[in-house]
Amino acid sequence: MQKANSDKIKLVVYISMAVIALILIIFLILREPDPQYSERSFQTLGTYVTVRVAGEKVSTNTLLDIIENELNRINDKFSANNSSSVIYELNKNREIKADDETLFLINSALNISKITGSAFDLTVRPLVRLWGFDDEFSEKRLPEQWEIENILNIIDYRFIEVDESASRIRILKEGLEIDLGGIAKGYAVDRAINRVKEIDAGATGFVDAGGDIGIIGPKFGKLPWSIGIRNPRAESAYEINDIVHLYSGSIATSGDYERFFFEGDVRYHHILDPKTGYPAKNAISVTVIGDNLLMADALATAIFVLGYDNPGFDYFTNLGVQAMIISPDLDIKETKGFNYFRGK
Amino acid sequence: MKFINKKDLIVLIILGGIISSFFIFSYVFSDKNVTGANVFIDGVLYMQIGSEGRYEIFDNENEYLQTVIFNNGRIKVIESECKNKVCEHTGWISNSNQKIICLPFKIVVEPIGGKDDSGVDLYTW
Repeated sequence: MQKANSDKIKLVVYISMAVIALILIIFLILREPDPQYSERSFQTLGTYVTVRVAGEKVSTNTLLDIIENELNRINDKFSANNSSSVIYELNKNREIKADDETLFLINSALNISKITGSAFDLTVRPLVRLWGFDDEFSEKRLPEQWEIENILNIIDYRFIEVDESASRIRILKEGLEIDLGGIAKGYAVDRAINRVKEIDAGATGFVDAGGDIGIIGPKFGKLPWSIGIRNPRAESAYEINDIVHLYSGSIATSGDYERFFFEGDVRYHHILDPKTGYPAKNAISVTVIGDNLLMADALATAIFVLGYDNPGFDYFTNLGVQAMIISPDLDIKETKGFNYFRGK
Repeated sequence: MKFINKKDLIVLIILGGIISSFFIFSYVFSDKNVTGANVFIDGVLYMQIGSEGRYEIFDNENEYLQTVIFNNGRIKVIESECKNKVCEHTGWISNSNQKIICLPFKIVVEPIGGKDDSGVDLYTW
């Protein structure tokens, strides 16, 4: 009797196990496979870009080509160092007939210059060149005070005139130059992502342009991308002090550790304050999260220049972004919604 | 009531042993550390570093560009002739999703092997 009971229980257990195994096999066969990501890295827009993407309807290689071509197109069109770009032509001839894209980008840069009280200023190029931060081949140096004062007399975004009805842009002051480097990278990434989404709305991945990142879509279509924020005073660039998680949108960080040199014990970095002519002193790192990288990148620079004690720090949330700033004493301040991105 | 007899128990122990040894094997023999590095110049593989040491990188005209060291499962650029020194400032890397990049010389140092145990997919800086 006991043996009969035992055999019956065994039979039930084995049948249950077989049913579970069958269900698991059916699940494995029927479930949608995870997207297969492909990665491509290349240099453009004055930085090293890494793209990781997986298409839903369009081949991944086609999407990689679209992104690379779009980034290169915008770099060629708007780089102030490229002799065939519209910006090079504008700086040289002081006036151009502009297409809609150029008008949009110049207007965007002017608007950001205005709302940040010129903490971001698209005419800062002569100052950047004076310090040697204009490209990776320039010799960096601490300029003389009189040199800085001479340049400060020139730079002012209000001397850029945009006539939309005539599609014309003019530089109204002698010596003034435009550089869209502060927003062209963000714009290029936004455009590239939009182009991908236009032809394959289900594509996922990201575009990482030298640490400024635009999200194409969630990881495997359902998970956030975990993004480490660099610890500004760590010895390794990959040591982080925070992690945020993004399903979409953009994130940009500006820090005094990217490009710098020491003169004596003083660190001179590349984020210059258009009002003083010297590297901004009251922040060491700013991270901005927003819907698009154009705004996130430009505002990271502006918030850095305005500094840790800027009373208008929370104002920037009105522009659709969240920000975190680290002071030279390593104090951290963030806008109210920033913490939301720490959760998955 | 005896639910499991001796034979069942032996089968279960053997199955458990096989499964446990599989997990132990994959843990012990997994490459947690970086085992070397690929050095690319302008997208072309220039050098594969496979053993610990100090490696100098030269361009096509034999001009010295930079020095990479591989030590204790970590990689670092200790010296570079470039002007902006971002590659030197990158410090040690020891994860498969980390790279050392020198824009002026178009050099990229990528770790070989190594598990990504950083907990992040990418970095903002």
